[in-house]
Amino acid sequence: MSNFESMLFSDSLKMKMINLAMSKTFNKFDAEDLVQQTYLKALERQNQFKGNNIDPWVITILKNLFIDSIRKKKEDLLGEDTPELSSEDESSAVLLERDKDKCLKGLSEKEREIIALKQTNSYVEIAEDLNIKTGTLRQMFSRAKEKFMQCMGFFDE
Amino acid sequence: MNENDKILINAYLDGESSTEDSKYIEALLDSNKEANGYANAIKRANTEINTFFNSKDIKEIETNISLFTKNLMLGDSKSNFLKSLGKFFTPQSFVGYVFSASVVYFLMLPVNDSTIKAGFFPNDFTNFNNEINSYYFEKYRGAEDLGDSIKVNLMKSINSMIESKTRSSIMNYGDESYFIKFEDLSVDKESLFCLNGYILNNGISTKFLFCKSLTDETITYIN
Repeated sequence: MSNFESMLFSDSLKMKMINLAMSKTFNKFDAEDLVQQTYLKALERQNQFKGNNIDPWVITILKNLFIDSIRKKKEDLLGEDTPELSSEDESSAVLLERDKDKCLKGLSEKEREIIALKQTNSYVEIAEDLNIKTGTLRQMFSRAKEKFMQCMGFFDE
Repeated sequence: MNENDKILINAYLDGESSTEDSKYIEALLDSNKEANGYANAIKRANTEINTFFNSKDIKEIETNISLFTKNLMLGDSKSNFLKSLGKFFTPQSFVGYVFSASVVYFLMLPVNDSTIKAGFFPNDFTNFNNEINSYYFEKYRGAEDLGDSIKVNLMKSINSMIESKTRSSIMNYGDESYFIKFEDLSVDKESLFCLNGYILNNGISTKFLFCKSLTDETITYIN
């Protein structure tokens, strides 16, 4: 296996990609597709990769593929009616899950990215992957969590 | 408690604060009720977020992606699949495939017509699941029609996938394995349906179009 492949197929990068994809799509099928397409695109473009740290490069591919898929979905949906969600027979657990999803969706793309990456990485690693300063990252974390807590109603109780 | 305290509490609970900052926060949490309440809210938020990223869905994706990457990593960079495609695309057969592809193309043209309703496809493609099935086929010694054997087994696998409503599978043929994935139901008419997808073998992806009618079925490799 080449050095490129060792880096690409590392478990840590795999989990980063899965968490990031899930934080963007909120759907296991779409998330899995996104990760698979990212691997294929990375292999296809491996000659373009320069450097020692593959993670930021692969994360950029994943983000671009996600933007492309959203664009395509928007085009496909043009002119279609948006179906309404049924509110019948929802248990409190389901409602809580929906609240959590809604509150995570309410964060900005960047905020969701850092929260997804924090599942497997330190602040320093995330700052490197997303090309931002550690100090800025700490502030972003704090704001993102506060937004999430407000949305979940943790301050109302 | 000011904004900087909030940042420090958050970093502390993430295990990302320096020794000095940790001491400061511990003292703050002991003495300040508001800070303590804020820290508890962050703990709850962290629990909710961790639950989201440790869900059953994530575990399923991880399992499927591990199978997928295993397939990508298999073997050397030179694909036996591509070699066998070389045999499949002989000059004699090429004319036949072009003809088949033309027929498929013309059949596909009216697919956007909203008046087409009843389809031949036996299931609802949108409900196909993301489990990965495995199929095993023996490779017999002396088999020279490698391209055709792969084609036949691919079609068997694809038919099984349709029957079990599965989007992905791994077909093992001898020592080789092929990751098969459906991407789209591109044609679904009264007597014909076509599925787009790709096959992955030794890190090389090949797109295909599988079409099935009442009397026949074909697979066309696109790239």
